[in-house]
Amino acid sequence: MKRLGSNNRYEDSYQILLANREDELETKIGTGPPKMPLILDGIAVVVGKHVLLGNKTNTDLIGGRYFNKCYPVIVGGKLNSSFDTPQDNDGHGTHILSTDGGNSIANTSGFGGLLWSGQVKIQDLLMVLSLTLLHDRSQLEPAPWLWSFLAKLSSTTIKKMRGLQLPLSQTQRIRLQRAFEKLQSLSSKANSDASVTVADTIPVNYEDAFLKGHGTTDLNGELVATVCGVVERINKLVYVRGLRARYKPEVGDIVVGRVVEVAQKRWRLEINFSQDAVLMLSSMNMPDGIQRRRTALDELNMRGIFEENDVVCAEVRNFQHDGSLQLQARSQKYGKLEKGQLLIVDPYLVKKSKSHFHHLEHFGIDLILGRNGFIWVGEHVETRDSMAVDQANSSEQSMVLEEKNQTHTPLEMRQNICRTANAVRVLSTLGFSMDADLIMETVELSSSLKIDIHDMLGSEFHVLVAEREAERRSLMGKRRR
Amino acid sequence: MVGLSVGEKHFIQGGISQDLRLDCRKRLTYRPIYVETGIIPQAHGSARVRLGATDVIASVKAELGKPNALQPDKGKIAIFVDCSPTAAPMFEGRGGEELSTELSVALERCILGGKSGAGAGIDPTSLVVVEGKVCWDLYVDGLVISSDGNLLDALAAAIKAALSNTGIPKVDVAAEMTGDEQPEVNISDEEFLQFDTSGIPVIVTLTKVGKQYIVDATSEEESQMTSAVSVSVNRKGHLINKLDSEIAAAEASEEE
Repeated sequence: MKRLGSNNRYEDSYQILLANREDELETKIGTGPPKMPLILDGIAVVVGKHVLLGNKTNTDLIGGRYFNKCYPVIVGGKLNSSFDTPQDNDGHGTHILSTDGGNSIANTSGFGGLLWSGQVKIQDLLMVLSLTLLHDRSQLEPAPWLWSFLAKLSSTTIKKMRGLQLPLSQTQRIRLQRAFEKLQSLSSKANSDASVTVADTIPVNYEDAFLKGHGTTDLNGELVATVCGVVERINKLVYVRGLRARYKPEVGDIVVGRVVEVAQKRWRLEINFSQDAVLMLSSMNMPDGIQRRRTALDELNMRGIFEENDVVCAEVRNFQHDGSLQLQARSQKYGKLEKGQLLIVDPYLVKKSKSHFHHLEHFGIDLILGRNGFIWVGEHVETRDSMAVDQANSSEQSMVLEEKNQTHTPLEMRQNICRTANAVRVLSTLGFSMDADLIMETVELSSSLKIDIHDMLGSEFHVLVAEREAERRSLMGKRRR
Repeated sequence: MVGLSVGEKHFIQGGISQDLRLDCRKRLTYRPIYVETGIIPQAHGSARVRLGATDVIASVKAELGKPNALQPDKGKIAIFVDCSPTAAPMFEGRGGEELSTELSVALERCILGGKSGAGAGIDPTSLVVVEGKVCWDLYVDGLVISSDGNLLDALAAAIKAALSNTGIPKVDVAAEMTGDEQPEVNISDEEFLQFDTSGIPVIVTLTKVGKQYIVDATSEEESQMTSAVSVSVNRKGHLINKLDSEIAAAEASEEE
């Protein structure tokens, strides 16, 4: 299981659930009385008409303690002790039953039923989906419909969660919709409805030769999506980019990461990838700048360079044979990042460009767009020429460090940092690609309209930015013609 | 919670001392609060409160029970908070239990008053149906779905909203029974009684970072705090309880 950085531990379970691995489950469970089947991290699992609730889900939902009140009412008399608590191991415990106790909901029985209506109302809050299904094994039910139902339910949940969590007034909603429609019509992609859920067919011209990429599979001669996401087409490659996709690194990418471990001759960094990236001690410039072999003393002093939880900027050097990443930070522009804040956006919003380091002279701040979605906004740091550093200077630096502990960033620079950070947050909420120019324009828009820094996160500014972007792109399109 | 580097911590503290926090709020500004009520149709009352990335749900269930022999004219109210593992990795398994207990106890003291019942937000005598025999048991459950600081304020707001949304079914008591027999009660499906929530307090937590106090701290700011004070105030302006708490154990700062 992931340690730090794993912000959704149910993501892996979702992927398994959505990948239709029911055959695997069927063989595991067999035909006898169902033992507690795979508990996919608290999500209920269904195979055919076997029961299935992860007993971990029950205590997380409200009202788990009323189960034992309802059962005797319906059946009359107590049953075995496993019914006394929602936390039994037979999969009988159902919080649904319990919140249901005392109320009546159509199409349910004392053993639970398919509570479509009840669950739909709260589906936009639950990360843990738990369904109670008909327990009666004498009824024959095919499993596939259930898989696609679960997939649809979870994908609608995902879609709702991705929706803007902003309170928009009626006019703002209309303006935003119009801006998005304009942007979509200007988009160069041919497909207007590019988002797919599991088991949706991908619209492809089957006469053309095309390559099936990640997230797709061939089912009955049709190209079908296996994850919920957006269809991307690059030349002949057709793939589905998942909504919660992790960063996909390429050699030479600039990334910003956080040190999670100081290990033997290396640091481990968390970069929103499936594994932690490794920064070797030998890939790092020594503080005194001399190129030499790393001795045991250097190894012991690794914490003097980077400690746990430090934010570091580096470049992807290569992939190891086991798929993990190796980084290097040999140039002066890489290294520890201090005096600023780290923002996290989706990795696909940061596209590869000529330069990821931006020094906004007007504000005196540094903006580093890591391709893994970690964006650093902070005070400008002069890149020092390491060759000129010697013993005298190093003592000077330690004095500077002490001073730093007392002085803070000046207020004006801090305001600029905050404004830029809010601009990044707004663009990330709206789903626009991160581009230094776009960020600068957003900041200028906010200052020209005299919008208070805190109001930048309000709905009005979001709508303004969307409209501005739609205008800008239509102008660019006209200029090209 | 993800760790913070020394530089970032310094930046946060600097921001607070200069009255410009990470998301550009002032020290005494709350994040935008979103409240939805009636989200759980099976419960008698429910509400969800979102405070930035903090997301909590409260629900109220009422069922008929027998009053305590020592207090036959009062109903029973129980408040319980659960920190879901989805909120933070450290809540996995039993990790969230300590925080849950602390929040539950704090909320019980604020809303139900002290041992003698003084300063209670809800009047338990309004919950009795037949004195000594039948009363309403109120179970208030709080669930923390996502945690980004300031859980106590969010939970108190959610509970207040959930209670205002609660409808206790009307009960018709059958003919008088003598002695110890349980009276027959008929719970109405149609009519509901609204709850009087004017006495329920609101909790405001002030966290101290460096030499200043801030309101509505995010989890990053909470990691930098030295102590916190939570105050619950009701409509009449009475300070019901002052709770001193050190929600996250931070090292005590050296005296400058």
